[in-house]
Amino acid sequence: MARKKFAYVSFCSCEGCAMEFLHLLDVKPEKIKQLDIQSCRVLQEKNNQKNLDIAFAEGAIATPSELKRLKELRKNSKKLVVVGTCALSGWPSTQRNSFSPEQLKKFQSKLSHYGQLPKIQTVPESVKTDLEIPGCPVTWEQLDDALEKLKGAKK
Amino acid sequence: MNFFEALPVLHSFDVNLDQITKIEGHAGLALRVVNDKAVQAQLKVSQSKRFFEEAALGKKYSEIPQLFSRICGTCSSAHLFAGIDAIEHAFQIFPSEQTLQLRRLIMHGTMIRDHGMHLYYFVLPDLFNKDSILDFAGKEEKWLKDAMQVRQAGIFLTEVAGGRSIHPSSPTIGGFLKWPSKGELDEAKEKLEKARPLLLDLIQLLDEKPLYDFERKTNHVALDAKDFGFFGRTLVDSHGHKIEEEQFESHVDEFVLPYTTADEFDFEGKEYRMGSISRLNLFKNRLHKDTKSDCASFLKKFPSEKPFENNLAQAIETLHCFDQAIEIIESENFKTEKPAIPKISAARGIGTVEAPRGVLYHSLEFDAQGVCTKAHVIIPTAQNLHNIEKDMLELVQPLLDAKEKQHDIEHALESLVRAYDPCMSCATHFLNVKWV
Repeated sequence: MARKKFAYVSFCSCEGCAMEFLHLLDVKPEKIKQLDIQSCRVLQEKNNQKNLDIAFAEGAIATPSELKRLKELRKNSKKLVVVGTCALSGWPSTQRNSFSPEQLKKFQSKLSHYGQLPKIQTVPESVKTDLEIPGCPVTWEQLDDALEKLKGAKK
Repeated sequence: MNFFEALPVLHSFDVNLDQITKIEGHAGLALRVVNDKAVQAQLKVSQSKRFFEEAALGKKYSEIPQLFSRICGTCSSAHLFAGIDAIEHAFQIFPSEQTLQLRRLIMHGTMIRDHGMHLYYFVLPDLFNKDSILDFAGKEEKWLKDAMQVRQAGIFLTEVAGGRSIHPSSPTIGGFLKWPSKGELDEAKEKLEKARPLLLDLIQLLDEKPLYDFERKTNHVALDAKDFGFFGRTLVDSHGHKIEEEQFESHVDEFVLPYTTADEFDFEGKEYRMGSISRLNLFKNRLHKDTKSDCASFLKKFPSEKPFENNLAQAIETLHCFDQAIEIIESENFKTEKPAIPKISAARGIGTVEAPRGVLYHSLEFDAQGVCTKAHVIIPTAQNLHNIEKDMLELVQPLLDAKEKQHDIEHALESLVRAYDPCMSCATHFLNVKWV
């Protein structure tokens, strides 16, 4: 079976789900041969996010540049998997979305300076998704199941 | 040769690296060179802010630890315990000795997994001139296999002791919701014993192949932790100052900078650093006796002012975690115990823990109903940032003088940042606003 061109990308998160991805590779090292890891910032400098079969996206979308990166990833990957609660439903990355106007006033100038979106978005709010894995963090078993599900999947 | 041809050719340029790879989180670096002199170095953290301190306000005390755990995936145990420690301090809870021992086991498992990730996955590729440990082939594959076995031993220990490796589920205020069985702990001990020799190989390798022989003296700060067990109430520095955790905030200055989403810090008006090298510099005599015995020749290097020796320090510290965890499992007879009940009152509490990268500090204030009214978190990586920038300038100058290629200068800077094992998720938990 041809190796799947794979990318693991993180946005606004604690990177805990990325730690579970590393845990999956610890437990099932054969996955390293099955996946052709094109992009995974914690493991390598090589970073290609075009012509992908599978992209795992962790974290919520906090800035216009994160949104742009996510849209590019969606365009360039046959399947996009939402990994973890931050990406899927937002918490806790989206906690500032529920701050009162008084609370937000304290940070408004800094939010603008660092180019943060007025409201942090989830991945499904931003792009079409193919598979969604909830969890804080996800487990390596869930990531493994997702890869198995996508093994024989056509476009 | 005429007058103009005889003039030295001076170069001015910028080095910009948008995304440093093989670190935890998002950051880049920038270096400004003017007339062959490195004049400015910036560590540009680009991780987005998540506002945990603000989110804690108005929440009941019981919600805080598991919330703050989410500041960081890989350091989650440290945040969990710093939060729990602060609340126990505020509400006069004194955890039992077995609770403290089980917390230590979780910290050991965390250190093993996290240092393992840093050393094998982030550092080793630089030593072998490879992009990734996944590219290691032939004899080099040993290191990938070792990485998995060492990390698995740490992960399993944390799962047994804390329920989960990332965001442990059983620690709570006053104790634990679930206690491990003897069978589970013995299995954890077996995995540690099997993986221990592999650590000695790693220590040997890091000792033989330091990346750059670069030295710059700085002030090291660490927690006065009994038996090098990562918990304590007093901070100590290289000049012999002893500061109680309640006084710590008055000794640090926090800076908001325009080029980075992480705040930077000074201690007593100057840059400083924390982490394994600082812990070994100040307290190596407290390491486990088996670690001291097997690492006697390597420990002679400490105290060390060589930032790249933080890698060797982490490896030795990992061995200590193996040895101390094995000893705790052999000597403790954990019995199921209900968590202690807090006495709620308007109060403030401080929690400090030696996280993988240095001293983590949580300060929490509560009203009479136990609702959080103030929260302040000071992260070890944030405290290292100013020191990293100063190191960058000094590391790079000899390379500029020797007219090294820009690519090699970039690589040297990246390796330096990696040697600190920075955690950007931690460093950007909150945007501090100083109104003047």
